[in-house]
Amino acid sequence: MKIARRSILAAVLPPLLLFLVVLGAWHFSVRHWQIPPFLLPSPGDVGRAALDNFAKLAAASGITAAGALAGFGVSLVVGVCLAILFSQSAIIRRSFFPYAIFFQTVPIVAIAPLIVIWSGTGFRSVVLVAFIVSVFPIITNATAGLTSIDPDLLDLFRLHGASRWQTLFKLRLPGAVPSTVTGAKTSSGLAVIGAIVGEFFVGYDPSEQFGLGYLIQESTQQLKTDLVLCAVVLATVLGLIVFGTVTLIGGLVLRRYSPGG
Amino acid sequence: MPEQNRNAAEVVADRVGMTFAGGHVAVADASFAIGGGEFVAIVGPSGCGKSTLLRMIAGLMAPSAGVLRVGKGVAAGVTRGSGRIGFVFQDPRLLPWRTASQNVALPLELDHGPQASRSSCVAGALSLVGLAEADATKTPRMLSGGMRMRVSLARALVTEPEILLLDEPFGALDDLLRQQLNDELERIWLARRPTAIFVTHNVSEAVYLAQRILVVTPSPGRIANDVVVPFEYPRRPELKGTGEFARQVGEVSALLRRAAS
Repeated sequence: MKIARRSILAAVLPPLLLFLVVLGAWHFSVRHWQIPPFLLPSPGDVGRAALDNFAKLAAASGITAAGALAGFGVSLVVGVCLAILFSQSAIIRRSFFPYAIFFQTVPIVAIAPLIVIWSGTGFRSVVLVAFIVSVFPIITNATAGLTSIDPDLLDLFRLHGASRWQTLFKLRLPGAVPSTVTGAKTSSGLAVIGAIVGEFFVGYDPSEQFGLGYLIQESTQQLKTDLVLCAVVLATVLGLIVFGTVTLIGGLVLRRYSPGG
Repeated sequence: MPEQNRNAAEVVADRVGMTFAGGHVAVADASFAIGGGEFVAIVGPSGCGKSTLLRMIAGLMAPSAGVLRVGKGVAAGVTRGSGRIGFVFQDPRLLPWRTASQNVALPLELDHGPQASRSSCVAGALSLVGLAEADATKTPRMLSGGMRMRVSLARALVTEPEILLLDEPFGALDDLLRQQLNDELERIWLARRPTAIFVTHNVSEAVYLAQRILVVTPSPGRIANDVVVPFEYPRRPELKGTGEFARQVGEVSALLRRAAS
């Protein structure tokens, strides 16, 4: 117990100290060179802005989190469904895969205007962007998992006259869980980025509450650099929380579905 | 020598050959007959087509030449009576997300056997291989290598197969465990009397277990010798210390060397 506590301390203390040193240097530099706050506000300014705009920041974080999670959820469902479809036939896989790659490589900024034309601006479009950005790792990882099943196990199923559905539900899908979890981890991080980028380009709808991406854009235009920094920190924290949660849940799921050593 | 078992499957191979798509000849001109309830070992160097032969007997691949018939009464001219088959792989090949007893129940689920008798069949198979009731609810990762192999054996036995095919099943285990499981296998075979075909490259193991040994030459696999092992059942571990056993092992090893050269 003592050793565990000491090792936690050893892991936490150095980065914490560095953080304080950087904070101190930042504070000192702003004071010493009298940097104007719109260029670089002091840590104290940023903290004050965070407290003053607490409600606004919390609401924006909530909206962005909701957009990212919705996009990630849609990615998970659509990605796994597409992967199941791909796993059932090599011809389907070969015809669809190039488009899946195309979908992945087209810059989201380039198609943002199209999204606005087709889906308008606002929350729904943000979810759409988060989905487009995050679906690809799910498709590829789940497809790889579904199609790379141990040939001996496939033989075992064949030996007992298993139907296509029995093989899918009793072997392929559970067997694909570990690689799908790997895809989901990547995907969850991308969904947060997608939601923020989406809010930048397609997120503003005057009738709706806005997210961190729009807040960053708006505050930049108003030269509220302290608020921009608050939003950036919150966006990072949000990404970490979402990735951490998915990793944690994924770990629990993996314990059941991956072969033990 | 135990008598033949009319309720077990017979195997009749007439000039059976297997040439793969690339032109590689895995098995050529294999002719042999195995009676119901016999225990036959197939020995040969790695890559001699032993596993291919076993897979053809299991019906997992069709021979590219010759006629191979498996089932009750095929020796007397019944065309193909493909009966219940149990297959044991080199590795346990268990599904990690299922408990031991759920793994054993898998073939019954796939065969759509009567739901009512399933749990008693599973319990019977588990006790036959000597797995404690407390271990039945454990997942494979909580079991030792030997236990996993026992579960794998129980899975092959749960349908009360007419023929039991074993593809180097204990090759990955340490020697003590291997000897233990050989004794278990002998006991199970004597209790249930399925036809057993045991592929191995371990001559001593083959002599200890089998009534007959088919010696296979490498590339292409041909049956070079058909050796009858004269020892009575049940065989005891002490048998391995006798001169007669050593002589038999030496004889088969010499045949194997000659076949390989």
